[in-house]
Amino acid sequence: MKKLHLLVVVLFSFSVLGGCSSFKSKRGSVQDGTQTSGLGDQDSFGEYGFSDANRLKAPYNQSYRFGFDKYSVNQEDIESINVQANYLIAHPSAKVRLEGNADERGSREYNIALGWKRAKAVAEVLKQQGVSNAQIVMISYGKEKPIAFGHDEDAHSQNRRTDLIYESK
Amino acid sequence: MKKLCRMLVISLLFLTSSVFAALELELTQGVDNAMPVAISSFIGEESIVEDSYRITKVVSNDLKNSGRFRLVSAAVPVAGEANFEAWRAQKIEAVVTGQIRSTGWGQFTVTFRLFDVYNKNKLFEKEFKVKKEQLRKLAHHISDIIYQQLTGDRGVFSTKIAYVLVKRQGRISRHNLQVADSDGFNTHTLLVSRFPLMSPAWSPDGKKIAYVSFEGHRAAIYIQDVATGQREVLAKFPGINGAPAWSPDGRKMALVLTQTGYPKIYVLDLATKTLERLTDGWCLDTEPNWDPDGKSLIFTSNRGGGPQIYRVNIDSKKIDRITFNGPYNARASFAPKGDGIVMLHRDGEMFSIAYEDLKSNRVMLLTRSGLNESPSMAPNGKMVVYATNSNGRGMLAEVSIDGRVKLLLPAGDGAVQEPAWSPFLN
Repeated sequence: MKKLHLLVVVLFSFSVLGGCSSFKSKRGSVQDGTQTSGLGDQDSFGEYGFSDANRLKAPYNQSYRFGFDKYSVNQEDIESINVQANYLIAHPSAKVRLEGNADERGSREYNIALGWKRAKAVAEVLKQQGVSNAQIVMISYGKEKPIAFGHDEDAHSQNRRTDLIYESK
Repeated sequence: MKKLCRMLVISLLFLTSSVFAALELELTQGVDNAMPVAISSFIGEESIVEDSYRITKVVSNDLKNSGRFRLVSAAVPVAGEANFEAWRAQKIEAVVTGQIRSTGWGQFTVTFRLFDVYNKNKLFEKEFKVKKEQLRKLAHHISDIIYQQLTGDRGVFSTKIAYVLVKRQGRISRHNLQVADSDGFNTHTLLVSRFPLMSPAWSPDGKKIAYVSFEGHRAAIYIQDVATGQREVLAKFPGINGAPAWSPDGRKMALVLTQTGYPKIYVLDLATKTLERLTDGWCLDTEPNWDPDGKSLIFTSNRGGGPQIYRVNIDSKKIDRITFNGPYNARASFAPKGDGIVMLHRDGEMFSIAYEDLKSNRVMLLTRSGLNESPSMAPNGKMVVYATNSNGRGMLAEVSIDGRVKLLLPAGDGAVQEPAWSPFLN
């Protein structure tokens, strides 16, 4: 098989974006993530694979797993979520992003919907504790952002998760 | 200026890559009774052009990979004229001959003829004047003509396929939105992102692609012009912005939003930006696809428990279930005539590509192994391209709508997913 690599040089010109504050991110990049500086960029995409060491401390990013075909928060995670909730209530300017995820099986957009249910499940616990809607951003990556790349139940169970990430503390 | 900001116009300096194939087409199963066809080397071709521009080779590969023809060699008189008696003795049904002449300044005159052996007549003859870099495109055009003349169906050799190429290095991933000719050659990169990209969808005129990008940790639907690379944000609401699907007239986009807290099907008017919600409730609704008549949409919903395909009438909002076979049917899209759908069908531990005839509700599995997904039908309704997983590696594959012809399109590098077959172009 021929392995002919194409030297594809993609140059984005962001000429019209000058002065457009809504597209300036904290890192100062434009619409972060899509400028194509080539593969030398070592800025990793996800803040994932969090250790469980700081489950009961806040503010710390968290990852909450879900059972097969399950969309409700595990009982063992409630305490950790409540700790994050208390921090958010005490710090009204703090903000978290909840990223729902699914395992690799099935249709991609349907998995986006399933991941959404998992993000929503964590959001409901936060809101029951009194966290304001304005402090929560929900998205779903479906199966687009796996942390385990195997094709067995072990990998699947790691990927069925909601990541809680502080966007501001 | 503000409007410009909202539009997020990004111009991409465009990227011509080579004529080399980024995806290799491998015919893995053809039909038993494939039609024997001979293509004689185009006269004058060897001396003029390099291999990748040779019409004879491109046309031969096109016809062979369609799975419907068996290529045989035939004796052709020097002038490229017919030799019906000899061909008939060889049991050849059709013969293609041609000639290429350089007219200077990188211009060529190409003539080709198609002969019907049994009826002893010339089915087609035409002369083209092209530049050298158009020779490959012309070859696909000639393949389209031959295919249509011999099968009665329009060929798809001049169409394109969009797909997402993912390259991972440890925790760093690069997501590329690619467009290639349907034979895997002539690849262009429309976007490179370190965030996931998904659900590319061609506009009905083939000039634009809508897709979902998660750049900046938010989901948004973008529309990008294939020729210029310019793009704009179409939808960036809080929550899911997913599964874009153009209406057949190109004026509206069906999409999935979570404005009610649950993924629901919406229709966005592209000119007025008016948004209309078509479904409601606490269930998950996603993956809308338009009936070619523009009057209804099909979508995936778990309103009955597991995911199944439903149809919603756009005017009445009436919803009917249309899949009943198996516990999991998703990602359905209509055949060009609206008489059937192709979809993802769970079959035990396997995810198969299936075709359902909408008159009989009969379901036929087109694939019977592994984890497949994202089926997308060719504009002539004869082939389906889909993503498959071979030894843990994502690649594209094609299967004919009768399940008899199969092709694999392994990529040289990275995982390939989310194929979208273009409409007929020009």
